[in-house]
Parts: sequence; structure tokens; C-alpha cells
Amino acid sequence: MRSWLYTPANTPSRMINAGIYGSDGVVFDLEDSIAPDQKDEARFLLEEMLGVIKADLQRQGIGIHIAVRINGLDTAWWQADLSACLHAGVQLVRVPKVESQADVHRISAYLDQLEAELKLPQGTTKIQALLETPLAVEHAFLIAASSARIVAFSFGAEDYCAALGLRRKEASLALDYPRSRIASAAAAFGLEAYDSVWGFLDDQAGLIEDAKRSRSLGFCGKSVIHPNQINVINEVFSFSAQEIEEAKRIVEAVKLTSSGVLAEQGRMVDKPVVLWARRVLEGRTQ
Amino acid sequence: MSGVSAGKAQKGDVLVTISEPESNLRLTVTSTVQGLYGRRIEAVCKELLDDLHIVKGHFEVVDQQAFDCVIRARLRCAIARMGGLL
Repeated sequence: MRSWLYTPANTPSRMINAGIYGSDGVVFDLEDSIAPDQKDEARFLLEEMLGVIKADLQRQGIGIHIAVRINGLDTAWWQADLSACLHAGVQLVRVPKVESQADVHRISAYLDQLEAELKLPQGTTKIQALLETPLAVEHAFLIAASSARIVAFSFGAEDYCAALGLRRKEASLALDYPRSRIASAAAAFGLEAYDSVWGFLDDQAGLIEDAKRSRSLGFCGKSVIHPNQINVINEVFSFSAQEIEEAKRIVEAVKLTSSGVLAEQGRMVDKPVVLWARRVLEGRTQ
Repeated sequence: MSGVSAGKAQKGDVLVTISEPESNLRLTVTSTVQGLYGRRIEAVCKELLDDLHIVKGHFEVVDQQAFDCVIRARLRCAIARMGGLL
């Protein structure tokens, strides 16, 4: 999954169109983009609209993943959010400000309860954990190990920078560490890792640079806040034609030899390189 | 008691206001597509009010070409909000 488009879950016209811009996924947001006095409106809207949105996308032949970002565990809203999600048929929730195994266990226990009430198979609802604080980054490995519901990490750079007293645009070096740690912990458990949004809509060059940096550190995609950012992100997080050709050559060369190691165009090709080539041909950037 | 509302009077949305919660049920629908869809919007509202056994209150629905699902969501929210005030 290369790109996830955030869309406020209380604007019908934006919700119905969210899937048409070419992102791999849409995150309907109940958190930051929804004012406190509109949380209930958004939940009702999500419950009623999601089926219509899915049917509309299917009619247009658009295959897209749908997630919902709920409010954090430090709010009074997260349980009602999860309830609305499950009633709406949502199977993937993005949970902000996850900091520990205990947080995951708390959410998971409530999902167990909701799934039982709705007679859904236990574990149906998966979680993208949004890691946004230094504590969350330090706990990334433990969080990844805490539940089979966790399928991905997402990084929240804005809050992370704020915790360190940094301005986002001037923090590229400081972000290498949390990004590496999150991507590595995710890879250890076969999870995907999505990088933070780039909030500077007029700075496409900055977006490209930021996305390339996060891909180089092991992320497979990025969240976006505007449709104009989607094509760039999809391109950065896709394999180039050159990479695909190289991967094809490696896989073909391996088929022709019984040796564990060979040379291909001056490069040693051993097991990790073959794994990389197969991953490229499967279209997996992570 | 003053009324409660949900939704917005903007394109693709609908503003639902409930007032006079103790009066007999009354439904007023206005829409930018009144001629084409006025009756349908009214039917969507009545069906939901029936389902929820709502028999009192003045429901004012100002539609700006909302889908049926949006109308239902805004009505349900306004009713829930009114319930919180009763």
C-alpha cells in the first residue's frame, strides 16, 4: 500500500469521491479533522455511508482499501468510534497515539467484545497503530508483537517533532531514527509501515524528498492529506522499470544455475538479492 | 426547550432541525431538487421516523442534494441529540 488519503468523515461530498483519485487506500477520519461537537454526526454518517461508498467504488471498478482513524484512547470517543466502525462493516482501524502493549490490549479487548456482540469472527478487525511519540517509537517492537490484530504501523511525525521541540520542516535528520526504528520493528513482524503526512501542500519538491527519504529507510507508503499528493507518492513508492528489469534478470539467472551464488552483470547474486528480486516482481516495496 | 440540529446546509448534505418535541409529528422538507426528489426525501424521512417509532416533534429537513444515506444519518443524529436533551 503506497498511499493513504485522509478524508474527514463528516463531509458527504468528499467521502463519496475519496476513492476516485488513485490512492491505494482511504482513511476516513474521526479524529483531528472532526470538531468535538461533530463527532457523533461523523459516526452516524460513517455508519450510513460506508456501504454506499463501497458499492459505488465497486460499480466503478475501483479496488481500494478503506480504514477509519478513530479518536485516541485518551479521549471519551474511541469506544463509540469503534462501535460505529464495526456496525459500518469496517475491518481496518487506524488508532492514534498508541504507545504501549497495554494500549493495544485495551483496544483489542474492546474489539473482542464488539465482535462477539455482532457475531463477527474474533480478530476480524485489524489495527494500523499510529506511532507519534518518542515513547511509542521506543516501544515499536513490543507494540508490533502485542496482537495479531496489528497489521501495520503508521508514523506521526508532527506530534513526534512537537515532543522533541522541533519544527517538522527542519527535522529531517531527527526523523531518521524513529523512521528506521518503526520500519525495522514492522519488518520484524511482517507488518507494513506507512510514513507521516507531508503537510506543506505548496511544496511538492519537499514532498518528493521526504517520501524518497522514508522509502530509503524502509517504509512502503505514506499518508496524504490532498489528492494532489497521490501520484507523486505512488511513483516514489513504486519500483522503477529499471529495478523490475534487473529483478527479472536475477530471477531468470537463478533458474539457470544450481549454485547458491552467481554473478549477474558484475554483481554478486546470493539469497538476499534473490529475495529482493522476487519482492520487486511481487510489487512489494517492503 | 430549543431545537437541535444535525448536518449542514451545503451541497451534498442536509440540515435537519427538530423543534417542538412535545407537539404532534410534523415533517417539513425543502430541497434544491424539490420537484424531482421532494417526495422521495419525504419518504426516506418518514420511513426512518416510523422505524424509530417517532411520533412527536417538528422535523425540518433542508436538503442540498444529499444521498438517502446522508439524510438518514443526519436524522438519526438529530434524534439522538434530541434524546439527550429530553
